[in-house]
Amino acid sequence: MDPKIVYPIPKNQSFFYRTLRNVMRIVFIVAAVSCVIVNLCVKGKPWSIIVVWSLWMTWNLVFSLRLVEFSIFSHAVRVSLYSVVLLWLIDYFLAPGWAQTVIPIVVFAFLLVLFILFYAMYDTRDRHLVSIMVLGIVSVAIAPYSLHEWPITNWIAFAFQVASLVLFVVLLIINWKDIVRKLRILFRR
Amino acid sequence: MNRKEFELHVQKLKGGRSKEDASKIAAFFAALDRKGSLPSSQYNMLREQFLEAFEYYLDHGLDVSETIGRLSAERLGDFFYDKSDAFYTLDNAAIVYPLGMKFGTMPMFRLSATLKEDVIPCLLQIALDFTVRRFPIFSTVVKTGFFWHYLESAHYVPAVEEESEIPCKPISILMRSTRSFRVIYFKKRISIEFFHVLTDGSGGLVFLKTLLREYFRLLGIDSPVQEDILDITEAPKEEEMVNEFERAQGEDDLNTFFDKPSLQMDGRLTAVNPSGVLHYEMDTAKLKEISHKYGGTITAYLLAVMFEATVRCVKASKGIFNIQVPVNMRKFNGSKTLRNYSMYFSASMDVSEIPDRISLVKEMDRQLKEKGSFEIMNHMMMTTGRLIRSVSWVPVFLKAPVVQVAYGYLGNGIIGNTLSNLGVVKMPEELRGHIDHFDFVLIPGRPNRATCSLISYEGKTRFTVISATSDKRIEQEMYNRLTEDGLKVNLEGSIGYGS
Repeated sequence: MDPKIVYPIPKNQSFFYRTLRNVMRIVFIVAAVSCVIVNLCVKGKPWSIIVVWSLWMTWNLVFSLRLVEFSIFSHAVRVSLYSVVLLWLIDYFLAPGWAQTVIPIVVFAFLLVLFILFYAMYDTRDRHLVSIMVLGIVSVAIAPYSLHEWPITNWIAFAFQVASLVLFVVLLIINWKDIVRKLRILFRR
Repeated sequence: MNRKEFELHVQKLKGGRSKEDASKIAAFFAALDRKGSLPSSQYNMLREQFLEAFEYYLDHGLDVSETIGRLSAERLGDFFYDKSDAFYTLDNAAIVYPLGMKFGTMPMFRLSATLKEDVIPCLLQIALDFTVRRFPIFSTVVKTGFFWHYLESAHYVPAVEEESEIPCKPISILMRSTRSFRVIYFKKRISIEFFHVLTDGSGGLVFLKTLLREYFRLLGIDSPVQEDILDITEAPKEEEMVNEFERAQGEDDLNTFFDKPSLQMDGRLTAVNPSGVLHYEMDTAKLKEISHKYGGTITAYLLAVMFEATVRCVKASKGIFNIQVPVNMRKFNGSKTLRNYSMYFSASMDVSEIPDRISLVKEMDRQLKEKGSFEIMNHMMMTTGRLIRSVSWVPVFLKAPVVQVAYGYLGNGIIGNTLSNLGVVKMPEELRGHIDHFDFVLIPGRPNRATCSLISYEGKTRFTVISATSDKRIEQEMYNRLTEDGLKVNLEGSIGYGS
């Protein structure tokens, strides 16, 4: 067989990311399993939970990017959600007493930056609506945790919770029609 | 090109022409500058595309009036200028594709038309700009819902590209502006590569033929619309966007859905998929004559040849080998849908029991008639619908990992190869002399080592083997058998893409 070549010679395929991904998968699995075993053997605080979550977070945010519908907004929301869980784990298992204050600050910071970008990027804001709504919902959902000592008030947490709530309500009021339309599409079965 | 540069170019076009022509040119480009929801970068792109085509025509001796007539911006309609909020749920065949997608893989296919002359890229670009409005369901991006993925309108200006990659390289559908298909050209060939989520081969062929008709109109060769070539000045019709699976009626039968795992051909899977494409061009009449001599159709004959060749390419001396045969459901009810509307069945043989060719062709003919009957396909369609309904309440993030695992076992694991026959392509009389042939390329899903496809046009049948391994025995075995039967086979293809 001697076919006539009718296709162009393709550019060199780069397998760097694919190879890196495969290598890192093995590294991460070995690291996670080793940490759990060592932690179980030496006993003490369950620090391996934080290691495993951090590895999982890095894997998902760096090496296993979404294949459908990726944007800086959706990625920032994912980063914020993973970070909130990581902060809570550190507080709960290793060094308690500060996450109630820090988590509302972190969520507010993400929400504020995305809020500004959302209105700055007028042409494309429609496609980021769901991402920013998710973060808004998270900011409200963490309130029972950050304010759980009520009526003894953690004023810093309280202030940031209120600030997040204000941003969220503003978003809801301004984009109400679009939100309802989006929700109908998103939850269609 | 920014606005200032663009205006300079228009001034140049007007320079040295009569007052009447100059004002016509100004009016033409002003008509492109309508207010709308298009971002400024998209306006610039559209202007540049039309400017290039305009210059091409004037350089090739067309007068201003004729140029404006061919490029009339009216043919764009309001498509790029109006913001569309439309969305489309995925059809029952497409629903699994985004769920089952893994990094670096994407179920894709390519339809190509090779012309008698080199492609003129700037005219192909305008043809695409004009054509895409008639296919709003293709002008969409895949989005993730809570329960299922869906398609959302994205009326961005498309761009044709020169072919420089392997066929059916996965399309990155991450971003808003990336559609699930691409139009590429290479010398005399125009190709469209589709992510299967949009349509099947028949729907894709309607798009290609409509694009070709528009391309030739821009070249000054007019032709009438016909059944599967759409009039791009018409509004899209409801019947073209319908999910036919939802309208199916009848009993389901779970047995039609599952099959035994198939043997797979030898050969290490290459990192690059496909690892090569090989077209076997044969005379249709001769192929038909030989198929009839063996007592079957062309599809039955080629299936028999594929089974015979496969026996030489599997290690096991015993076991079932399945070849998937897609069935175009439109042939049963004349549906005009442009979305996926194909089911499939497996032609099966135990590799230890391959009979002589006459018996094998007859056996394939029997299986094609029995397993590909409307009754069985309808059962399968109903079962698919039932399975989808039963998991419709499960969120996408839970469904996706399950589907990714199951897809390998229930999808590609139960087949060893595929033969997809798109049939005979008919073009209007006026265009026949300008198109040499059509090709159909279907990417093998892992762990399959190859897929085969078939398409005929103007007395030429192009049988294509798309391989995912550097082991080229299946191609050689097929070639030996076809030539042994007295068929004159012209081979065209690609270099080996990977080892």
